[in-house]
Amino acid sequence: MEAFQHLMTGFAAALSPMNLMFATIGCVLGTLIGVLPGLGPAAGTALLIPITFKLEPTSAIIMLAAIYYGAMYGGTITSVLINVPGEAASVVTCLDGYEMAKQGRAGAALGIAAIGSFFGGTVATFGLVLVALPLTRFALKFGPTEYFSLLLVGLTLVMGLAGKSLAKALVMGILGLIFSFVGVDPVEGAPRFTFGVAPLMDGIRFVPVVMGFFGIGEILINAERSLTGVMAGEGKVSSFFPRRDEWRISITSILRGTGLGFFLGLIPGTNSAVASFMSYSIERKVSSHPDKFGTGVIEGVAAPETANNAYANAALIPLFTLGIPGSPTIAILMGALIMNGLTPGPLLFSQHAAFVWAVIASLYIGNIILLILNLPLVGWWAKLLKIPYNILMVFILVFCIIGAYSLNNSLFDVGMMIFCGLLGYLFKKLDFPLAPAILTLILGPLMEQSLRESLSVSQGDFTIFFTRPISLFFLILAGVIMVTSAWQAWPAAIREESKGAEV
Amino acid sequence: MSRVNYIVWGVLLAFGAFVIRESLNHKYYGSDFGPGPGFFSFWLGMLLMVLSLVQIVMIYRRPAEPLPDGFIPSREGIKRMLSIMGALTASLFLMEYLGFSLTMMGFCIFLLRRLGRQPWWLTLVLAVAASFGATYLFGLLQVMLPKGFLGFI
Amino acid sequence: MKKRRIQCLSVCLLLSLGLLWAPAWAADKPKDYPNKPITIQIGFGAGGSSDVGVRLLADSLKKVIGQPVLAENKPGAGSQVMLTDFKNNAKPDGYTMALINIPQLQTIVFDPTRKALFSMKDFQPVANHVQDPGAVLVRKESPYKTLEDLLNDAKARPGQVKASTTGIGSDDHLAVLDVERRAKVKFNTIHLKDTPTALTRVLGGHTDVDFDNIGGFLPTVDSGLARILAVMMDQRYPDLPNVPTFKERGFDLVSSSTRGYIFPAGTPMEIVRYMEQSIKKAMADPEHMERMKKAGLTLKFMGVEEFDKFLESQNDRAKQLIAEYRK
Repeated sequence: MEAFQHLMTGFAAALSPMNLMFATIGCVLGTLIGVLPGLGPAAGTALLIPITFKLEPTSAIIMLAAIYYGAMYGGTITSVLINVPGEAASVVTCLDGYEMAKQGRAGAALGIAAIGSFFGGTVATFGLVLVALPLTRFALKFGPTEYFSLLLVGLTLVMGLAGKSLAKALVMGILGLIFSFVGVDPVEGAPRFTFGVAPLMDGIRFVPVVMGFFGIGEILINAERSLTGVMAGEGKVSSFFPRRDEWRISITSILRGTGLGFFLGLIPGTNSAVASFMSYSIERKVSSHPDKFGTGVIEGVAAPETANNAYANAALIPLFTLGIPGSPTIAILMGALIMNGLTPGPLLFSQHAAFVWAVIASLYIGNIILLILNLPLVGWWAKLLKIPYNILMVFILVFCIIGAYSLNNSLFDVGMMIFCGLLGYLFKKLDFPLAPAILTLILGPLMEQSLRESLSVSQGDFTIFFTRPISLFFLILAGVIMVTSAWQAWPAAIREESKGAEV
Repeated sequence: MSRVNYIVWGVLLAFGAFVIRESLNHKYYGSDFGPGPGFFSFWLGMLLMVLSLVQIVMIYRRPAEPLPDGFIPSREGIKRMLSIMGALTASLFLMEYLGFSLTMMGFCIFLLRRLGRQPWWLTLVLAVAASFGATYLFGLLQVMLPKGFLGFI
Repeated sequence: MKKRRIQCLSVCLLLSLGLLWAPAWAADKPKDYPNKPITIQIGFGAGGSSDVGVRLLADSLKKVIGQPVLAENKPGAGSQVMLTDFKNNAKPDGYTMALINIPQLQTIVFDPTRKALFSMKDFQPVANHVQDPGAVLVRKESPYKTLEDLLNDAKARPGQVKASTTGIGSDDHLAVLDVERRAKVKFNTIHLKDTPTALTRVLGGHTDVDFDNIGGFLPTVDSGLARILAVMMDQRYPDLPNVPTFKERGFDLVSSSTRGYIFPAGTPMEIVRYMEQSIKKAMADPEHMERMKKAGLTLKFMGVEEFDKFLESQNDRAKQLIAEYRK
């Protein structure tokens, strides 16, 4: 009850015209940063820290937090409209969001993303108020062992991402893993697969690969056919509500996405891409029409978008309760807090209660502002697709080049993107699914690190994965997913074979 | 289709072999506990080779399927793709010398004229917006795009 | 190769011009420098404590030199990616500086496993900025109350006490190796990705003790979730008067993450001097001092000669410890 009293005071502070203005500015700037290539939430927030020196701390943090989740939403817009993810978390949105856009339903895709993000963000903020402390205690129990087993569950979900051929999905999963091992290995510090090329030491960066696979690959596929006309031919692009029959399915997806995003947000060391990808895979796994995924189903947008916003808000919990940033962007936010003279951690609640609660209240308000801001803009964004494709395409290419370059100021990354564009084109032509490779590219380094760390802790004893209850639970879950996926895939494989024999 | 399939799985087979060879340069076991730097890549390479071999055998046993419609692009299509890839690759190498603005200017003019067949006035307006405009916009955000030999653009 | 030769030639030319014009340059400010923005390259990600330090300095330095100072992140492999790029591409014209971390730089250069493509000779030290002392942290519930508790237990159970570092070749890793060597103990060393991960693990009881730097610890220590057993400085840390140093406990051990700036080798000395003095002025800016204090970063200025000597002095320690480790 006391918490609610504090929260009310917080609302009063956050609703002051000054703070409201900063939250709005933050949302607008954040959305812009998300839309602009290469500037993800982390870079965007870092960029604006100096500006906040001039502000009062509460306003400064409110603005930075608004930038943070504004950017998360902005990344979605480019994924849906032009198949170029602005940052890692919205990669998975390309799979179905872009397909929806091609069918003239960009409005619905962006609309459901805004609604899902709002819901996920709001619930996660509630969680922050009500159950923050017990939850963080639970999250601390998550050591490397639990983490590894959780990631294993994610890996088994790769099989669920298979299209017609399980073999092709597996190959893509393996390729993703192999690529993820490029760079200085986390154990011995030895460079692997770098061939003396310095930029490869940090590994193959995720965003250029994905921009190539999706953005450039798509343009090459289109160029091969024809470049005339516009992308979303007919259809009312401006409508931002899903069809009536899609509501029910969206709601359950949004609920699942919220749960998963919230849970992963509590565990330091994950990132929002893990949340969105796992949520997509789970949707596909539980869906009654898994084969339709990738052709523009609404839950393929709703779930991951919700998950990544729930994640973004939940990731603030460990920051407030333990003083530990759960993700790179939160780390920057923490830097901003510290520079403004506020030390994150449990003491913050007692020493700077007014500040904490104002920030929490502003999270709710920010989510509402984002929704109000974005729904009317959806139609406007979607109209971009009315630009003749042979012009739009050139701009998308420039956009990709800037994005790949500015992430790390490296021309090598631009080259990597161009190369991956070619690869993406070939994979698409040959019907190799891209999603498994991307999932394993995200999971690979995390898995290797946590396996290695677990074995250091246990001094080489593998039974540690079975003797710890949370870890055992995930291992069993991974086993179940593996068996059921194989079960589902088997008849399809036989069908394919017999079909092949008839021809 | 089957010839294409042979090539694809053959390439993957070769890639698997390459990965294994590279892995052998690294320690299989770690220096204290658990797998070393070469452990995972070795087994992934193995797995890739096994999968590819199985697929090759399956293609061999199964009669050839026809290629899907439109698998081989038209001459015009190939030309368009080559223009895009060529423009991308050229701009990658030119950027270091000419800087972002000039390179992108050329890139846009080439593609808008060659593939877009836009009139000159529109081409120029769009190209300036996408090159100098972008540099200015990102400059405001303190993102530095590459500068060329002239030093200031 | 050709590029290299042109670089050498231009350096010679600049130097000879410098000799000719020496009287004119005797003034504080080199002629016509700086006339465009200066970039500081950072081999670590945005938002980390290295990055925060650079960005804060950039803000004050800007006022001193009258040109924008931009921070550019090129993270990867403990700054190895950035340094390789810096050696290959940065021109010795005074417009590109880089942040180095000591002893991380030494461990990259002297560890053959890292296959570094640069050596200490490729860099011209300018000035040091930050010295973040090493420290040993345990969680609130830990049975270790003092440094002796920890070392006695580590002695009694060799290879069992789990100690975390923030990566192979980091100053924390060297600190663990140094403690092992001097106290004749052996830890089960676990290399983690970064400070947040290390804190999560130690607070969750997955590791027993965390070796890291004070700057990253302060929030956790202030809130009482964890405590510092000892710091690795010559004197006690001003904000932690009750925490002993290793020296007081009889171990001749000083370790820190020391962060300063370098130019590419061959940068005209006038420019180096000018930048050294500018950094000194920026560090004396009260606003800068206040912000750095809030960020938990300890300022420590060293000029060109002193910084160079310090770099040199750390070479042997890093060489020995890494050789011992890789054996």
